[in-house]
Amino acid sequence: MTTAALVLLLVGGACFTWRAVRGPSIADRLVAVDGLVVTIVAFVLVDAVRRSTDRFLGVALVIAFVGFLGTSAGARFIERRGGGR
Amino acid sequence: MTVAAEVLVLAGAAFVAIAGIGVVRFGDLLSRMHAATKASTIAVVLLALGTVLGLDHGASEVLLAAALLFVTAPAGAHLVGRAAYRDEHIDVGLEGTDESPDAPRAPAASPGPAAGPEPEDEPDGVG
Repeated sequence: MTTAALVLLLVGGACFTWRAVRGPSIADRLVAVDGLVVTIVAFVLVDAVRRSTDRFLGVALVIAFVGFLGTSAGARFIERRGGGR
Repeated sequence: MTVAAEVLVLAGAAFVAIAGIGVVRFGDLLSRMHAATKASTIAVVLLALGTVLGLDHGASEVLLAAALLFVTAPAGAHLVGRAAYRDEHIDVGLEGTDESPDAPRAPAASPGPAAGPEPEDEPDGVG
């Protein structure tokens, strides 16, 4: 069952990566990278359930916080310099 | 691991996949943000509940990470959406008149008669 969840997360991560590579604007790439952060956190949680260990849960916590910092920094970048291409 | 934990984890992963498909398929930036942010937020909540039910320890870390993403994902999406709305080079796919007091873009922001050519004024159907 968790294998199916990992496959679904892989599909979502592939879609987010595709949009991050070919988003026409910087904001599209930013949204895609934010989705990738959520996908990685979800992957860590599913992997913790799969191994039935709580050893790697701090990774999810730190990645969630750093992902928000990256998103807000990217938004500031768009506001200061413009994000057309 | 209980059946409820498996179902919750699978539903969360399915929402992440739906968010990815929406981000690929939708046409403009705000539609993509609509797909990515809402589906990701509910996915994180479902996955956190499934993980808490499925694990014996570590519920506090999981719930803290989920609460952090639950707060920061809409805030980050708001920041990105506002920055893209104020930037003139990003097509956010707005239609109709723009009623925002910021009025960032020229053709949609000022619907007054002095703004420009109004194609609706001309009488149509002239034979």
